[in-house]
Amino acid sequence: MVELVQQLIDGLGLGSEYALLALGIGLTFGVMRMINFAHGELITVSAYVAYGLTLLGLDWWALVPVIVATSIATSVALELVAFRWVRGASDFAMLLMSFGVHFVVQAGFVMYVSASARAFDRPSWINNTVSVGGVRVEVVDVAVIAVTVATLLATLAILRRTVYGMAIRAAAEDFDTAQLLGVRSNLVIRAAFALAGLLAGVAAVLLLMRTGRAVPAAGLIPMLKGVLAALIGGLGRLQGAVVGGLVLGVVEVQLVSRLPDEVDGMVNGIVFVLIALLFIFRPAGMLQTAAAERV
Amino acid sequence: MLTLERVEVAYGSVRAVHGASISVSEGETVALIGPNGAGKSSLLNAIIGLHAPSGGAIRWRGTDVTGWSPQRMLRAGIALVPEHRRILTGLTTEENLLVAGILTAGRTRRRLAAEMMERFEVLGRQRSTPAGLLSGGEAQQLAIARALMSRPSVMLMDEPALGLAPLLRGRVFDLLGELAAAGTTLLVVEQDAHRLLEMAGTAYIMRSGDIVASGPAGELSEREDLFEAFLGNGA
Repeated sequence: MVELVQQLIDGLGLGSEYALLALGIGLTFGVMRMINFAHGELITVSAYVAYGLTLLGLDWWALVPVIVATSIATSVALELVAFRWVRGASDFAMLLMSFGVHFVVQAGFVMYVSASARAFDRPSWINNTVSVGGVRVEVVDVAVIAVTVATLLATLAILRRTVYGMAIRAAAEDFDTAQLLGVRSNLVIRAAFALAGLLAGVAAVLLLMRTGRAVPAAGLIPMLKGVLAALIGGLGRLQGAVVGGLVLGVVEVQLVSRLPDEVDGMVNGIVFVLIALLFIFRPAGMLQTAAAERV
Repeated sequence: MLTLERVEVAYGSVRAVHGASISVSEGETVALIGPNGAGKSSLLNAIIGLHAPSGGAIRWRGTDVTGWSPQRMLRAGIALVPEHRRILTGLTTEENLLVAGILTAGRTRRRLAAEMMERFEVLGRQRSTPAGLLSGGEAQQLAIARALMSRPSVMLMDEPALGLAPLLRGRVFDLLGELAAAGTTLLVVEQDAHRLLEMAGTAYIMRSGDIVASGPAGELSEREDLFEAFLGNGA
């Protein structure tokens, strides 16, 4: 039982990061109908900026706002220089553009920085554990869950309480109608990318806290997991993205703990197959309803 | 005040409107009637900026506003109540109103939304209800209230009574009458031609992308030959 609770906490910690990424992917999908396969590059760029600043002697806590700000700025910049030009184009064109950005950024770091990992110091408390009722919990997991919950609640408040959040939800539901009501397309799309950048920035902080290294492919797996989580919950659905992320995290941890060590490397493949099976029975994702609320 | 000069609308190679000229004076109610597929909605969408005209000019108070975005048109004082209402179903009634007031400052926006919910009592009672749960009549009132959030000088209305029960259609026409009486200029597209012509000052009849007849609404409503030829008996 203790082991199960521990695994559950691990899973929720991992799933929280996925949820942040899935929500960002869902937000940009909502306003552009594009699955942004370059979303993980926000993590990659942030990681290298963090690495560069540690060389200058910047403290980990000072890095946190820089990482988040870098992610937001990168997200908005990518929208401006890349995605704006395929807005309204076919799904295929948008997909190709997002893949293109992903590969260009990755190759840029390989060519002009280094193909190998650049490590930097992590917070000293990262491996500390606390024991609660016999359950040994890593401090980092508690921090990840707490930060994620706070970030998701703040995001929810922005989307529900501010007129710009409502405009993002409106544009996600029906872009033309939102425009008819006075919502500026450039503004709402930029706002969605900025919010997605904020969420990815928080995810980058949590991820870099665990790994403490910058690599050109730093964002690839997180991006794939974010996309999967968004798909599990139903693309464009706010709650779905969060639930999808948490479910994915818990399932992954369960698979890792239950599968024999020799097939550990197959976990990602098994997860993809399980999700394919899910879509056979629930084509619109886990939270499939007759009229599900969209972002 | 609002004039359309030989406006053309095309979707790719398909021409939906072939050079329509319309004039709407301040405070006037103008009817734009015609069978399905005549190009009426295309014309309204071109005026509001959802679909740029492929030819001709749209002038508003002397300024050429052809191809302006919906946001600029709203700021200029022209709002559209779209066909099928296009309520944002994932937002609540109040959120629909607040988004529609996005061009106004926060305090004014909230005051206007409160005014709308007072004016349209049914909306006030359901301010927190997801708009997707509103009935057809309630949703139509919300669509009109949303357009009023920008305090427009001209309201373009695309089939405001479409799909409503007879009693609710009557309520919508009463509402149009109230707006007209309050001095709002109306350009209305409606299938219920006879009812609309009763309240309109001027009318235009469209068919297959052309304006085929125009004149004082009272005179046109008595021209049974026009109804037979262009609108069919059911109009």
